[in-house]
Amino acid sequence: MSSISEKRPGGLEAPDRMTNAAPATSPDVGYWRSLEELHGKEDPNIAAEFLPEQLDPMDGTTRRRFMQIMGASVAMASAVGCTRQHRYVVPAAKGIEGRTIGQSQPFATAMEVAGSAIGILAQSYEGRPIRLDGNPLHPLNKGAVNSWAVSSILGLYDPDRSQAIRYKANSKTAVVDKKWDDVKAAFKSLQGELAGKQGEGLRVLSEASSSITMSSIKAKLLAVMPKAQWIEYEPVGRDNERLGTKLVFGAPLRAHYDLSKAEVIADLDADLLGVHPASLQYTRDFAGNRSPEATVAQKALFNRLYSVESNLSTTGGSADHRLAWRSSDVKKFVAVLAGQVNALLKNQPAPSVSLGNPKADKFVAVLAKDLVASKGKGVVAVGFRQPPEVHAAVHELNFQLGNVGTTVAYFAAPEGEVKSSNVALAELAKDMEAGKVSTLFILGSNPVYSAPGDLKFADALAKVANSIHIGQYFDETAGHCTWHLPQSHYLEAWSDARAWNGTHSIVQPLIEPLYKSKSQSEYLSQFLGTAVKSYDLTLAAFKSAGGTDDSWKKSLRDGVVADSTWKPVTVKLATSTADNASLAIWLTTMLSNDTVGATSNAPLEAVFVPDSKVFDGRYTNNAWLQELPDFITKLTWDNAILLSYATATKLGVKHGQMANATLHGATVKAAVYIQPGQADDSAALLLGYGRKAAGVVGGTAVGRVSTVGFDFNPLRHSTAMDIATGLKITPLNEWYQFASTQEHSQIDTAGQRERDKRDDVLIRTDTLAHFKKEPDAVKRRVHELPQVKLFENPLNTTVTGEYKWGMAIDLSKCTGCNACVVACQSENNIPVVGKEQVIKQREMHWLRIDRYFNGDSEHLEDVTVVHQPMMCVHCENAPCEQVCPVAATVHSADGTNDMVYNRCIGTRYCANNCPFKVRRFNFFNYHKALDDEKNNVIRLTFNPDVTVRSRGVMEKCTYCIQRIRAAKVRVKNADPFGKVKDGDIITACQQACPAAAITFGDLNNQASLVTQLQNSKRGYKMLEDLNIKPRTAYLARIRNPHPDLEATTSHKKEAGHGHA
Amino acid sequence: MTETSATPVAEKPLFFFPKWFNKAWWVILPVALAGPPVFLTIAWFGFNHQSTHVGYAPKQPINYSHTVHAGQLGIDCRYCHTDVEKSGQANIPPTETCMACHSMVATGKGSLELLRESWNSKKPIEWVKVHKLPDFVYFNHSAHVNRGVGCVSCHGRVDQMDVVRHEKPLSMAWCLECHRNPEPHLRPLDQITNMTWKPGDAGNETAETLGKTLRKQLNLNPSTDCSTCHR
Repeated sequence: MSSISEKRPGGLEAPDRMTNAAPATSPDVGYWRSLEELHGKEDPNIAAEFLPEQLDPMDGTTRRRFMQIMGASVAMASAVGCTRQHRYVVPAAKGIEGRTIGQSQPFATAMEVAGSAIGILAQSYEGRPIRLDGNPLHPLNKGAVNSWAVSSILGLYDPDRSQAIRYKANSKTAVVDKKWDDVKAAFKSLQGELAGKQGEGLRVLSEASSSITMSSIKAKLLAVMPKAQWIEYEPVGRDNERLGTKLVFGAPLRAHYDLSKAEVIADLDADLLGVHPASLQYTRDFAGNRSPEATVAQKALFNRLYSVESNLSTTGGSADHRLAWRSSDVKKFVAVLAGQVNALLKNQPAPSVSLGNPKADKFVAVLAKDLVASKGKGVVAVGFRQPPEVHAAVHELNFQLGNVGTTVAYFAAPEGEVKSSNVALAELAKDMEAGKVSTLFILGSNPVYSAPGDLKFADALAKVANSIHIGQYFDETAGHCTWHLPQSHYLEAWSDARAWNGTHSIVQPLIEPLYKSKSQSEYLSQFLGTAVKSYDLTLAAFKSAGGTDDSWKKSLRDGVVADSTWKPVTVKLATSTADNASLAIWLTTMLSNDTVGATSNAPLEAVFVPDSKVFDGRYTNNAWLQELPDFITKLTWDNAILLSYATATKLGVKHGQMANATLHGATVKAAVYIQPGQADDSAALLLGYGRKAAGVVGGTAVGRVSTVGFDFNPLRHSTAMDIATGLKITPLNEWYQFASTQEHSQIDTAGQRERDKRDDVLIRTDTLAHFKKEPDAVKRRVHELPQVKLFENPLNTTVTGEYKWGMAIDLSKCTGCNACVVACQSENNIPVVGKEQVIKQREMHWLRIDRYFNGDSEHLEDVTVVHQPMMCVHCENAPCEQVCPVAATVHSADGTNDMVYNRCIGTRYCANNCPFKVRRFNFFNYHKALDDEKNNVIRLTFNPDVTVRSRGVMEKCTYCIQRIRAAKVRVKNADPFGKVKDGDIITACQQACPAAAITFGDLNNQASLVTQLQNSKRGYKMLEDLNIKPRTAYLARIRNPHPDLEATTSHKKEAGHGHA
Repeated sequence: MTETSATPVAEKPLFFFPKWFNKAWWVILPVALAGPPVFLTIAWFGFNHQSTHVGYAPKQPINYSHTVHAGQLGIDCRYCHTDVEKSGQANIPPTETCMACHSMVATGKGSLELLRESWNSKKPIEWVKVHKLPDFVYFNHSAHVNRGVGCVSCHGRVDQMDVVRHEKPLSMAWCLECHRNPEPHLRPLDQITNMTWKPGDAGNETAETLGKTLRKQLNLNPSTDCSTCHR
């Protein structure tokens, strides 16, 4: 691990500042981006722009690695020269109906993540998919996507994907390549042998799947081999939700919320807007009710979000009230909440049970009151990592509050009454260890990496005579199996999948398999005796479920099977069951103590949090996701142990220090990251990193590429997958260099000294109550410029264009989910630069999300968060244009600030003069690696409508100029006097956004949505006092705090300018 | 660092031009005199039409003659280049288009062996690209043929080319010439593919008045913004 050193890294003087004793005073600061900034540096100018030489020069390996990673430049060399190379045009021999050369064609498909689908609209250009958007017809995501879906296009074209059938007779022999005929022969003998024993000794370990194609194969297999077992395992399982409904309603159910009707949302460690499989819908519904203008006009409600959680999640960042609370104590919180709600419902005095913390007591009292006040219009949701009893208590709470049937719906759990995936996996490991398993199929899963440490899965796997791994990568598990069969990407083979709400989609391939791979269903059908193509398997399963040829065609076209969304089932409390009685006992026990809260010397808890970027490790080899700054830590290329400031101080460990984390007898060495908002005595261990056989991006244990981040799976226990207490952290005398972008690209008006003035200018927030009283308070945060004209400003050129493009970004809606960042990267061919370059502040994202905290240094767990998507604002009076010596950045008539790559000579004056720091410079030819033939396949990812930039060129957000130009040509082709209508042009970020926080359009059109938003009372432009006239306006973030809680969490100047 | 610099730094010897430099005039003078002409020559050839590939006429895998097809037979350009009105790119036709006729006409012709082979094996023919713009230029065919700019304006008399030749410079200056003053280059929309059309053919109107009328009719306002072609 090249990032660990004996010395502290120089330059970043964070460790001292951040953890040596508490800061002396609590200065009256508003918004800040990092603790370093909050606690201040003596130097008023925080070294953001010009870094000292802080890093060892990149050694050979790391340099090679990151130069290898991404991109390809289509060689520009031969553009104008003495001789001309022949280039070829290769039209298909037979024309393809419906395809217009030079235009992309959309096809509906779906992507399944951990058993839940997202509807995708894939853009196919000349027979290859180039971009993945959300399917507008899909009821769950309605055109929006998350970062996983967007970046899966890079997974398709990953040269690290497994390309050959591999065989290893036993652990001592070498891996050899095999042919498909060898597999057929092996399958035949295996099948014969197993069928004779009715499948005894056969186990299938599958990733979670909602596909009816796979379930039909499963049924066929179990019919022939009834003694075989089929197990579904997910490293981040949601089984407790189902077990909870069993306790309280007597049946396994799946809960689904309708946040569009919810006035009060209580998110108890659930992260509804983040890792939840329906987060795209929840984000849309949540954000849909965050428009204060609509609320003032009485057209929409304005919801209030409460969040109780240990690790600051996407939902916690968006919450109106957040309680940093240990995950293992959420059960106590729920018990107290249930007691208080019950008392209020029955008009009884609230039970005097304390959570042991006055702040929490007040929080729970107000929440209970608010929930009861909005009976039938509230949602209480609890997270997957909480035990079944807590789920049961919350389900019961929703039932009593009358929320079930209005905001909470239940579906019959599609998986039925199955064992929890951790229990099933533990039993499998035990059977394997005992020699009861002779043949094991592993479908898509990677248990050698992701299984909890206590199972010692790799050792158990060695005792299985025939282990067959079907996966996209030759990963950790593949290396321990006798057979490895390359699996097709979802864009290469037919299948089907269901979304969280049951909506059924056909997974339609966009391209033939690139690497002679097959789908899981094709391999298994071969094993069962007949080779069937995935198309026929899927069609057969579709028809056996009642589909017809017509409905098949319609389902393919729409991307959803008509009327397949589940209907809610009616539930009633199973009062008589023994389970329900034990729940009552559980609640009573919980409430029997006067104080159920955490005590100050409580042992440290470990919470295993799926990473927002690589999830459980399945996207580790995706460079876009690796380089994506995490929504809250802003970490790239890493994970860490997240600790609160107070806990780190108590443990004597500093930011960036390496420490041994010991739990369940296992020890993992990892770096500590101090995270504001993290609950005390709680350590968040981010999953998905430390892969030892991921690939060139995600790292390998041997070879030239080191691992990325730390693997916390060894600390997990099969009985305590997500929360465990008793974690020990032992600081080591080693230091780690993070690549966190939280302090990059600081927007300064006049240096750090002026920061206090700056806060209110850049980030503007208000409360709903105050907004109703004084709607224009937001605008009055800065003094308006005197409109005095001494002379005609030559820079105020008249805008002559037919259109005036502009953008509005609503900070009330943005949850910081990062979908826009990756969508922009995909649309605009933005390169990946690697960790070393990110540390040097050379990341290339055109769109970044500035994450600001608000709170004082005494209550670091109580921070509030504001996310601000930041890209080029296309100033009408652009400072960058005035300093470019070669006119490489100029204005178009429509007012876009154009970047002309072929003129740019790389002086970087423009970036220095840009007050928003949104310009990105190609310090290297980040696409050079693709001259290597092996990486050629990545070229297929590129958007053909956007130039691939080379070394020495400046670039930045173009407002997706290629889409603007395409729309104008399209409109004028149809009608010479036609006008581009509002909504004709959708930028990539806008298209991806699940919260509809980004709006783009024509400011000349008074009726356009963007004009209305920009003119709203909340609309403001950043740094307007510089007279740069940005075309992007921001809409202030309006919070909706409960009046009774407001006082405890009041931060600076929420209500307005000092002397407004 | 400041403490350690107490020891005096050894004084550097002064620099003198060496004696031989007096004779260097004989080198400097010719360079100074020859420099500007050399620079001008490079610039001249750099911007010359010849270096923008005018005249480039590569040999194609099949000796397809536009003279025969577009000229003598009078087949419309859009019979083969079907997407030119809808898309940014004017497509090179698939083998199938050729076979629409050549499954019946000249079926045994030796020079069409490759065509038949491509059709039977469904393997594409690799045509050599003649008109190639740099990668950072995005030209849109549909935006021109729907706005009164004829094929001949950029491609020349293709109907007289046995082998397709790069006729016009297709340089940025050449593009801008028309974008700044489009009127002389406009023609009615029904004459776009006509290779022989002349302004006078439309009746009494001169090129100038016709251009003005068409510009008004088609609401033409050609953009010279960088992002029109570069993005």
